[in-house]
Amino acid sequence: MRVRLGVILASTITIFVGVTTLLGLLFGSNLVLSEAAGGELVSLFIAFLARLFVQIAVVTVALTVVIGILNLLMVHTSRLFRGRGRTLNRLNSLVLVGVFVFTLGIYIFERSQNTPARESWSRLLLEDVLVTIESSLAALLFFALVYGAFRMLRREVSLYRVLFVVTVLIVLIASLPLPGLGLIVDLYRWLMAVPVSAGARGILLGIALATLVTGVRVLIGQDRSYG
Amino acid sequence: MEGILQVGTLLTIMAVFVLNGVVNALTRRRDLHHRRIAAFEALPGIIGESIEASRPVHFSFGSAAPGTESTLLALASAEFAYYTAQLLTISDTSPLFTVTETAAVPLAVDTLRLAYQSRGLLAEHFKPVNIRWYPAGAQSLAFAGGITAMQSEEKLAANFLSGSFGTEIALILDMSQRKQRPTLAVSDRLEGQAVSYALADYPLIGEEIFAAGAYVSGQPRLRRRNAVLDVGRWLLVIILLVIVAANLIRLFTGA
Repeated sequence: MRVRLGVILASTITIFVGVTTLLGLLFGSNLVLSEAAGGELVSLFIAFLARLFVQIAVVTVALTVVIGILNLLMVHTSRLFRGRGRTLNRLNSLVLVGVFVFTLGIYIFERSQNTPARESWSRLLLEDVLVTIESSLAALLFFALVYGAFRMLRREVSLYRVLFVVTVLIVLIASLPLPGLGLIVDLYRWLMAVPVSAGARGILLGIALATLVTGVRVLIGQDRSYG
Repeated sequence: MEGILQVGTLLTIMAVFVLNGVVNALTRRRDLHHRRIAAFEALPGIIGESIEASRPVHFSFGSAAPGTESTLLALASAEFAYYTAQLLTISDTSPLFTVTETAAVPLAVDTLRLAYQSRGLLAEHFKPVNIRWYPAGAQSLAFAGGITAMQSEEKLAANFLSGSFGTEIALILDMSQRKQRPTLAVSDRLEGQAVSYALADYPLIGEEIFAAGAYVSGQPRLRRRNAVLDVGRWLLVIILLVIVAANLIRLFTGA
């Protein structure tokens, strides 16, 4: 019985908040339900509730940053102090926790000293260390994609895989700044304008339709994936 | 302009509401059958191998999270993860969840917790440290780097990547292939979808992740939702063909 009451309560809250927010954001205070004096008050109240619910959601999502950081620390300190995993894994966790404490300390110290941005260590860590590492990963991405395309036909040869690889080759060759590629460039332009656009729109329409159907079912309480 | 937007949005929602009601009423007492999707057919084998080998399965939502424009995708991915994790609760090892948006951390925790609770194994096996946040945001290379490193750190059985991913998913899929772990991948972003199709062992395309819950659980309610999606898709195709036909007629008649 407790479980059912909990599900009913969660569903009721979801439906009420969802419908109110939808009506409030869609119509604002223009939703006049009736010509009677109470109608305008109700529409203003719905608009107010909608804004309130959105603000609550925004603040809650912002606070989850703290949850994420605590989760990160919990996972890695657990690995360190409970001796879980291999030595190398624990070393990685030690480095992570150490760098976190160091960066936090640097930031707090610089804020207390009002250190100018161009002299700050935290800016150095962000722009000269983190961005550099992410750039390296982005470069690695290129090799992963090329190798993946190479392996694609090794695993299985099918019409769609061959088509995929041929399309990739056409796009790459058309990007070359070489003379005599007029036909391939025209083919590339046609590919981008017609089948690729059509396919992309098809995928996006499918996702949009599924999102819409799921959203409506959540609003009317038919889908209760939250409980 | 605003009036057209309001009316259009309301009409769209009402149309989907009516479609949902009609399809539900027509399919209520029918035994619905799914079309075959290779990824879901391979799922029981992957789950069985994970349980036999006592190796955890890795679920990732990417940057899909509640409170963002991918809220419903996050809920659909969580639904798929919930029903799959339910099957994995009998294993010695718990599934691992990774997210890159902090708002998805409570969703992932709740998904795993409910899966164990539904089997009465909450106290024995549920550990919050099995949900991991890697920073942060859409197309985060730090997240991809973290997951790639995790492929070496953890002896995973498989990777189920369903959510919002960009091209950075290539790093995860490449490492997963090197470790010979089966991967199921889908993304709502086109570049992530393209990479998933090329590199994943079992790619899903677009809205197939929204159908996953019905395939894994077999629940009649979720099968009816798939029926609504299928009917809605065909209606959309018919409407588009009618518009194309009308435009072609106007073009050729010069009207």
